[in-house]
Amino acid sequence: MIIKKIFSLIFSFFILFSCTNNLDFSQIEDHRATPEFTGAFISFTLLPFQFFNEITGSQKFKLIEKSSFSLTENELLVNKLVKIDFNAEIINEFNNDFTIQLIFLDSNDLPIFSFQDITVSASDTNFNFFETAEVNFNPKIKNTDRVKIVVTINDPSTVLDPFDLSTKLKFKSSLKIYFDSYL
Amino acid sequence: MIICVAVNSFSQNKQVLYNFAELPQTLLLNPGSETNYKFHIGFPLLSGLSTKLGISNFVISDLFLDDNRSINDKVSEVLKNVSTKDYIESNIQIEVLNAGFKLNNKNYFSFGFYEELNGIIYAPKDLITLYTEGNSAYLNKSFSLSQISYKVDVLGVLHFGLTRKVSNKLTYGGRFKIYSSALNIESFNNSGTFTTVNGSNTIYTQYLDNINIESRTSGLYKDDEFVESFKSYLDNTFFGSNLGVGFDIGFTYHLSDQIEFTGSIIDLGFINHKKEVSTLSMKGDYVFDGVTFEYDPLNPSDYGVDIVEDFRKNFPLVENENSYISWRPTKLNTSFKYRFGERRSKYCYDDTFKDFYRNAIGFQLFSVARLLTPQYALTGFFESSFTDKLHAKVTYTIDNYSFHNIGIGFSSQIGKVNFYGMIDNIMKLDDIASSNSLSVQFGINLIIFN
Repeated sequence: MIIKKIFSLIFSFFILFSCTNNLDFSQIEDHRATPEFTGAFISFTLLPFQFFNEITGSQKFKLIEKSSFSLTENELLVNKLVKIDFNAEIINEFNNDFTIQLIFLDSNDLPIFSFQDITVSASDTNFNFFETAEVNFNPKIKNTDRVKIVVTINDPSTVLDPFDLSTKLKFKSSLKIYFDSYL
Repeated sequence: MIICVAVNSFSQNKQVLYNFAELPQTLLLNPGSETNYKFHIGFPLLSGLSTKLGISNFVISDLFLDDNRSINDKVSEVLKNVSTKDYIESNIQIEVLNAGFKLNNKNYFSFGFYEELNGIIYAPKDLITLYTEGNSAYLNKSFSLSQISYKVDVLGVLHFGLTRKVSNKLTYGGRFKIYSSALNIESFNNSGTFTTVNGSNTIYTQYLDNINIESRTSGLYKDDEFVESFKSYLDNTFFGSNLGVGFDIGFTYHLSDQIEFTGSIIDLGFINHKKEVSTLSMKGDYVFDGVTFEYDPLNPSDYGVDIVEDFRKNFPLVENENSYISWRPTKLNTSFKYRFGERRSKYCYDDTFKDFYRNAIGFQLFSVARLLTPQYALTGFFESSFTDKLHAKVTYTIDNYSFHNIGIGFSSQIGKVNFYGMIDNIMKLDDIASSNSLSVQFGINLIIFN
């Protein structure tokens, strides 16, 4: 009888007191991760001779360079992309104004998004540019496959000295990419 | 005849069960435990089932209490409080068979088979911070990849043990184990950092320094396909392709009639993984400071492609199927017991009577080898025998989870039927979600004494 009572007591104890406060495990579905990743993007330094055709020697007023920059490779990430901050720091030692365009291209090399044209005045050695691209308003950004930077000398009458190695246009940039993801 | 039905919690530390009431189950914690019966056997698949979840430095309710607080705030708070040495561990063990019998007056032979799942993962704080916040707010901070540390094992264990009573003072024993691994996933001893700093020629420079990361799996993939079948894992727990061996050793020594000292080492062994093995490793250093456009029409280049190729060259992801060894989490138990109070006699298997004291106090020390640092537990206990067939034990344990873990247990014998039950952390029973760990053990043994 004593044993029986002990068993009953212990089981009652377990059943009555092994409990928890109200838990809601579904809360985890509401967890949002909003990481912001920052890193260097594109940089370049241009000297006067680069504005001359390497074969004919004639002066050029527009330089174009491209690189692959595929956002579509990781579908999981690109679907969580919400915003891109583009930041550029430019030192212009030329006595000329320049316009710099950053253009996002799709896999067919067609432009799908571009930041505002960056106009840098002559001899401006402390130029900063910042622009945000909201993916909601520019959904095609997600299809970016390549980027193109076009550097244009604004005044077509400009004459540069190809042997001048001291005058430079320095461009460096960074991106801050925002994601928003639920578990 | 003995029929044994037991449901045990095989948590890593079984402080209430250890060296308690000469239960057959104590032989798995110390093969040198004293036995006082002739024979025991458990019903196949019914002799043991247990689960345990242990979480250090936070509790379930910290995250999931229905209190209308934002889950993001709760996660941030938990992350703020945990350290990289905090962990979540779980253990599930199903005993398929447990039996034993007296070979002669000195030797007791025991054997059995159990299935076990054992896993531990440490808090990779920096990686979680990277996932939840990114690197933007953490310029110059080195995110440590060495915090990646985890190990999961699913295995079957066939064991044979011999307990030898040398004299009334000394009993010692050993157990031989054959491990059959169905699944092993592990990664530890990693190194490396990821850092973003302000650059000189570029706005930022990012460094992957001294990266050496390795992740090993066995049993997870077969012919490059992920193994999803539960039956496949179950089959491999019984003499599958990845086998290992291990030993338990232990002793009980009476310094006097009233003072007893015990010790054991459990799971001193390893598993050699050689089939269905996959090891992924990354090693090297890398510096990234963006893309540098050259505007050189004579040397056209796809900078993005070049960077990816350069990264893969300097920082290759290497996969191999070489065999590897994983070590079992070796456990160490010791105890010191002082008996006192009324002196009584109980009937033994060899038609003799053994004197025992009604009460005992003492302490136990437990340690288990883990990936980063050993875990320790110090237990003080009080035992009382109400009769020669009804015993109780109360424990107070200080361990990685808590400084105030109180456990209780009892064992009773009704004819040939032995019933025991034990639970720890009873102060948290009214709200187990606020408990860092909980362990429950109970079972029914039918024991033959003669």
